[in-house]
Amino acid sequence: MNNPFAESLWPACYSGLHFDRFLLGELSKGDAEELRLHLAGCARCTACLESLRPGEPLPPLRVAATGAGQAAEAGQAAGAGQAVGAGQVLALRPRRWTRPLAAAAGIAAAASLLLVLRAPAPSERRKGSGFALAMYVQHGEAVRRAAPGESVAPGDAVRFAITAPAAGYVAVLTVDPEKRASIYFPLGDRAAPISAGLDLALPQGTRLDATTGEEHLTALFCTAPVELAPLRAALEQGALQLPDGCQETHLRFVKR
Amino acid sequence: MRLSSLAIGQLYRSHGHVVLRRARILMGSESEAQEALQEVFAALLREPEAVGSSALGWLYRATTHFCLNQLRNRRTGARLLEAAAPRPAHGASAEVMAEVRSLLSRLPPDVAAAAVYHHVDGMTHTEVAGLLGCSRRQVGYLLERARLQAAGAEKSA
Repeated sequence: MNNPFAESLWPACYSGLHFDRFLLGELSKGDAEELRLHLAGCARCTACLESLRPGEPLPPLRVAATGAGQAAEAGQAAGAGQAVGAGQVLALRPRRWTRPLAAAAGIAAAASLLLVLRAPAPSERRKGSGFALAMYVQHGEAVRRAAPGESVAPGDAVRFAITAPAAGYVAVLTVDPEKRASIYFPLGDRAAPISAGLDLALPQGTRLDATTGEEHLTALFCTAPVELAPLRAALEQGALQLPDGCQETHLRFVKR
Repeated sequence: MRLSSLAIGQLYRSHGHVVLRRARILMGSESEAQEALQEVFAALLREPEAVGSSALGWLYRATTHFCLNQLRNRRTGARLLEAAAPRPAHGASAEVMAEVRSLLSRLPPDVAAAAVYHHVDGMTHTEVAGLLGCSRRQVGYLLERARLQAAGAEKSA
């Protein structure tokens, strides 16, 4: 293998940063004009610039705030049919990279975050069908159990917990303020197995995006690992019909 | 400059593709590039004052920083080489980019960042110096260290 740093791997006369600034209208008039003149006579740069134009639409801004390994393991666990067990204690910590990044950006390193789901107090236990969805919110250093209609802030970390009356399969879907539906849990294509228990923490957290407004959560508890893509599509169209063997519960919160 | 959450949402829509494109090149994995996209903007939501005077420059630095950390966290060189490249990185072949990732994972952070900006993004020393906040001479020094380390790796291969 030749030394890959012996020469530039970039194929054009101007850098990607320069092209990006041009495409985003951030170059000075003089620099932009100079680049236009160059592009008129350089097919290689023209081709490179065209390749940098935005193509496919971006996914919604929604970040799993748990570590990559944790999230991946959660997805694998769900895919492998492992149940979310009772008594789990889950921690939500900032990514390792955020601290050096903060330092590099000249800002103070964020304090380590820790979100621990607690067992519900006796007064919170439910009767009836027993299926319930709870949400915990971390805002700054404070963690609270969200009440229905809770107000949260963009950037807050949230984590869900399920009370399941029996072993089954669970999923949490959402319709955001822009009426887009997405699947919060699980990462896989089908509802994930869960054991019976109170306030079982789902093994992945989410950090809320910048979209403000009211968000509606729908949790499903099913007797089979139902496919989630058609349910997500139906939810987005406001026409969700529960599959046989499923029950639902709802929670809404407001991002301000 | 402190961005509002609305401004960060707008920035995601206008600049997010830049983050995703560079993360694809640096990580060689679509899923990890998507993760980088989300994490970079999550960091901005957590620290909206971090951007400074240039949002694009901050996004370049944040993406580079995140991806280099991820590369360093990969346990083995085998995994680096196995990572499926979703698309060719400009003119460089998938094999060359796999080798570049392997090298980057072993370089000190400032050396690796300079190498990314200059060799992968095609920046001039002046542009690299602007992003790293150092002198052009320092950039030259960092790039020479990268070249020497790559040459050492080439000899031992």
